[in-house]
Amino acid sequence: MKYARNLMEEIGLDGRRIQMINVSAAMGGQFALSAAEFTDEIIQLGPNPLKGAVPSEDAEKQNAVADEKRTNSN
Amino acid sequence: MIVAEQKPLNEQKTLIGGADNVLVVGCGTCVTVCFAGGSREAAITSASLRMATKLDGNGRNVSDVTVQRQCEWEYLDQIADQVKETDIVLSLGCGIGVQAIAEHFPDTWVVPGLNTTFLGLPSEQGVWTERCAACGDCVLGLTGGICPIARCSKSLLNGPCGGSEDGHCEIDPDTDCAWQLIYDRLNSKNKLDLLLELQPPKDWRTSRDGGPRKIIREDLRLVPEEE
Repeated sequence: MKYARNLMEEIGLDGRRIQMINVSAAMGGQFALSAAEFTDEIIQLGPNPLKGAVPSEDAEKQNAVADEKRTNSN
Repeated sequence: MIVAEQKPLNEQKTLIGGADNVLVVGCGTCVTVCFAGGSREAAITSASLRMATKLDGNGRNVSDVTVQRQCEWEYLDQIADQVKETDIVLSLGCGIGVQAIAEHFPDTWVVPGLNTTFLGLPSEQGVWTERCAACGDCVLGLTGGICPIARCSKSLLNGPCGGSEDGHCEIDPDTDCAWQLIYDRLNSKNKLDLLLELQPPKDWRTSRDGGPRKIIREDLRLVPEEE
């Protein structure tokens, strides 16, 4: 978790955008509460800045191909 | 194994400079085992660079590929086409891998994504420690399999210095005194007499002091007709 947060900070995304909680299948109430709290935090942080960033068209295409290749190889 | 760790993403970003097409090349051997430059790390680095450059307002084409070993020409041949198409290679191999790519693909600019750190082993989950200095003249037969060159801070050959305290090194209380380890090991095997054999000053010419090293095995070389 710490690794993932540090990575997101390095990339330029807010590390608070990622969280992990442990709840059992019998803790539906706790899960709903945590999900609601996290949703509030995410709303306060605002939209994902990557969605606003505009890469070159060529970059988008090539990255999509690379992602597809990786998905297929997995 | 060769142990390495990733350079910070910002440094990797600086190294790729203004290149539009970046190929991150992982290595499937030592750096995979130490979680620094295997296929998983190559994919993460590739995605991180795509996102980070996109946030900077100049998204790059970053893809990744991992070869079994970057330090052998045969494996590098397999990525020749991808290397040809890219502007720059960010190697997640050790320093040997980076140099092998530069040598094998002289037309391509290659930069290191890792800091190659030492020859060592995972002493516990998530912890790697140095074990060998590749000095070229192994003394482990005299020291119970514990290397005083790599593991003694001063590379002493005839016992500990005055900084050995309660089995620890004066440079860092978390570092074991190699000579305490050697003594304990020899004592447990009733081989303390080995310590009576005084070691003369080491000939460091077999190590880095002799310049770049090379091993030639004539029995393994291909004769011209076979090449």
